[in-house]
Amino acid sequence: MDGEDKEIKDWVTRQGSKKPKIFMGRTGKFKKMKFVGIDVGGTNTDAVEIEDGEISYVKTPNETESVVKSLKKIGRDADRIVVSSSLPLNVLHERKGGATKIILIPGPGLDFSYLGSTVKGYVNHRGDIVEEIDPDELREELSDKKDNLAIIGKFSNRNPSLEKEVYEEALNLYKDSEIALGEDVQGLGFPRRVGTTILNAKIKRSVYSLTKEIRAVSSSFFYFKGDGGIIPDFVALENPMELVNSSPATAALGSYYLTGEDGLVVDIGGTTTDFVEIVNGRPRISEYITLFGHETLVRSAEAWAIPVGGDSFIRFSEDPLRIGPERRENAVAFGGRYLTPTDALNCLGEEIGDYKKSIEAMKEVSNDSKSLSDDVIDAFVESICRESSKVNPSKIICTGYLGRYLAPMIGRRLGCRYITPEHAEVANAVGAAVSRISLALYMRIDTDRGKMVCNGEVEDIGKRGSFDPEEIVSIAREKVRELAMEEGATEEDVEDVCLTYFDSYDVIRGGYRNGQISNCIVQISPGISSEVAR
Amino acid sequence: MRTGIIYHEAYLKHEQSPTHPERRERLAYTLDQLREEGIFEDPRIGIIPPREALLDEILLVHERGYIDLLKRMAVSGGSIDLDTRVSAGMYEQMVLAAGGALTAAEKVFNGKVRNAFALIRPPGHHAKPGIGAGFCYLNNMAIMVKNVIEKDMAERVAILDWDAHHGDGTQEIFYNDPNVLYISIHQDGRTLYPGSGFVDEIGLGRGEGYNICVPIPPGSSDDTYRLILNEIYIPVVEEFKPDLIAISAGQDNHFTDPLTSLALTAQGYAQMMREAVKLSEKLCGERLVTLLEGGYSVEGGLPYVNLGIIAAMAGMSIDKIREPEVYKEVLNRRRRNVRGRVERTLDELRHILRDYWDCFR
Repeated sequence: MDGEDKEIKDWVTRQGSKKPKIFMGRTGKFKKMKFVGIDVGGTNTDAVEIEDGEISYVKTPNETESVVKSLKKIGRDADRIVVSSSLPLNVLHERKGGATKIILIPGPGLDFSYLGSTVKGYVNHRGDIVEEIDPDELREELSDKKDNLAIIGKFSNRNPSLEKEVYEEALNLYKDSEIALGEDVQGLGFPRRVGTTILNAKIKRSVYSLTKEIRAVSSSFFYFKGDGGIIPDFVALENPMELVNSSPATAALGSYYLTGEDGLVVDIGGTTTDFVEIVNGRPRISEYITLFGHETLVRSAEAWAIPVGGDSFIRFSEDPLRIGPERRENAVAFGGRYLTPTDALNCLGEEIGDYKKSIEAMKEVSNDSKSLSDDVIDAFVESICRESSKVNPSKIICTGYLGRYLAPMIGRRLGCRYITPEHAEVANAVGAAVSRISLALYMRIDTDRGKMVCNGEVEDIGKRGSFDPEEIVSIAREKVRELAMEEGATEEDVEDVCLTYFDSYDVIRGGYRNGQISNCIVQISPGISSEVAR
Repeated sequence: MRTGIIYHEAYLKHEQSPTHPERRERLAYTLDQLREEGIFEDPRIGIIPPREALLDEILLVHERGYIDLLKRMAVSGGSIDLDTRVSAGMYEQMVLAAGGALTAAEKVFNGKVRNAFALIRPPGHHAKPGIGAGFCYLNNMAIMVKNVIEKDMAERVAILDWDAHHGDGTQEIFYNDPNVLYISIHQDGRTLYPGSGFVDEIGLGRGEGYNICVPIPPGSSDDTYRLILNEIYIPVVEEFKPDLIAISAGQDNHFTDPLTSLALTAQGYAQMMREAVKLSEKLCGERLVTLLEGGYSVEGGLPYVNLGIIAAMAGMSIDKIREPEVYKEVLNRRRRNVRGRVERTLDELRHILRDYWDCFR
């Protein structure tokens, strides 16, 4: 493991071993609360501060340390910092995750050899190791080195030993931040665990770096998850795929906070345009999402996206011209070299950034730059409308930095009402800032070993008999309420706790029930904090 | 969707006592395995909830007096025999198991699925019209088959009962019936409950020749079953030309089963099922219904057996279906060379049955 990795690993362990103190500044009853939401988009990093209902924000271009720069401007004495980042998603979108070597430990069962390289070894349904790894075969398989590595064993979340064995061997060739293990992904379903872990391997490094960057200025913070929950940063590093689709849930929460209305949120960003429906103030949740052709065990707001945004690269040479899928640089209006839809808007009379540069550049491409710009925006609006019409919206809420320019065109073409709330350009960051402490708790109880693990923290419960499933869930519910309130949540905010995963099985040896292992994830239901309620 | 799995959470509830061999882990472990393999998300497979069997449907097989007795026992608690107790609330579970068998057949006949596996509990093949026995209360298979014929869905049904125990209940119910071919492969009755199922039990009256018992010696493994399928089951069923192939899929012939002495492997089960599926494709428009019967190897092979059966039914690859290697020793201890004895049994059977089946002439 190289120096940098070790450093990250060390503080992750360090932070993980003690209770994170996210809540820093609440000294007296009369102090005004200050909540900070950060949204790292494809182009800009938005930081929003909400204090006493007043919203202020800074936008920082995503160059180096954009989060740090924004936090230095805005988040210094915040009571809570919540970060939503589309960085890992963009890594996947732009296929910058590198090539992944996939080592499977599937043992007997269905034939999964189509998913990756298979090595010997097997953990059975009770978590027993019933087949061992063959070290020679493993070394041979590993020798085919790629950019990163995913290791997935069947039933590995019932016993990770075999995955750990492969991991130890792999450290000779890979850095810790390049290796993802299946055990960190909760839930049964080997093919989906494989899909999730492969994607984890591709994004792990970027989430590590981001976390490290933020840690440099803020001792602790929360990440916003795809299903609207928030978790302490160090918990997120184990299964970063949970963060990957956070943008739709923040957009939904932020839009609802800003408008108080249900509808289809069309979030037009620099790199992508996201769509999410708000029903009764909340996004719908999909239990398991499929991303980039990989079926995953990731729970997330039901949303869909197209790789088309304000900074998308335009292929003028194709007929009809094509927008996206990649983003190369900023728009010309923001110092880039390639024309984008943002520049086209400037040619049609908007004044976004250095709009004169856009006009000049467009003139170089075409004698009739206005009609070319029309074509660009027409194609842009058309692709957004095509996606929107999938759900027949009666109302659209346009957010993101181009939202207010495009909303009337989209609304007209769809024939529906459109809203562009004030601060729509930072709706996602608002969503992160107003989120209640919808803390998720990962709990594992092992009665045989007498241990309870809550978000990585081990507690002794002493040897004891089995629990009823209801008993386990109610312990978890109480625990997550307690933790959320320690973090500063109000009683009102922790009332509604949902169970998102449960799995319990008896450990039987030689005909005797030896113990019981239960895994359970509960979460304070996502929503807007009562502290900032409109 | 190709294969329907009939399942209800209530099937996990049936438990005579926590240490009784027919206990809930039987299904719980199998379900964990199926979930981990991603079976329930495969587009070829769908979970179908069972309906309850109606009293009239049950009465096509069982006597009213016996059903009344079961209902009374399910209120006050009682015992049919030493192995077969009835506790409170159990009647609903029986009715849901029989209903699961009916649901499987209905989905197959109305074309919703090509074949179906009812993962039901409690099992049924020892239950007779007037009395239950051997962990069985209602004869799920008989109730399904009688109803399929009564409701004109099929005229002729071929049952293969590969449970390690002779299905004496099912045999008795169809003993006079020429429209139901009952073939049972089981551990020799001289060495295992219920002590019946010898080669000369061939049916009575119009049903003569339509009941075939193939007793096999302890230690019999995959090759024995393959031989019997090739020599007896496949030729007879091809000649019988059923409208439905039904399988009483006991899993207690697995080499880790604590109550029997047979030595079938998960791969062996998968291959048998693949043969049955092929036969259903050839003879009866792919209609095949599989019902779970016994199988008590709670800690050993059950998850792999069920997985193998489902994979074969759904047309998935069965190449990697096997037990973990730690069980190899157990298999080697249990498996015996029984080829000579089995061949003598088959010769005897062919001789006895030659007047009823052209394939044996």
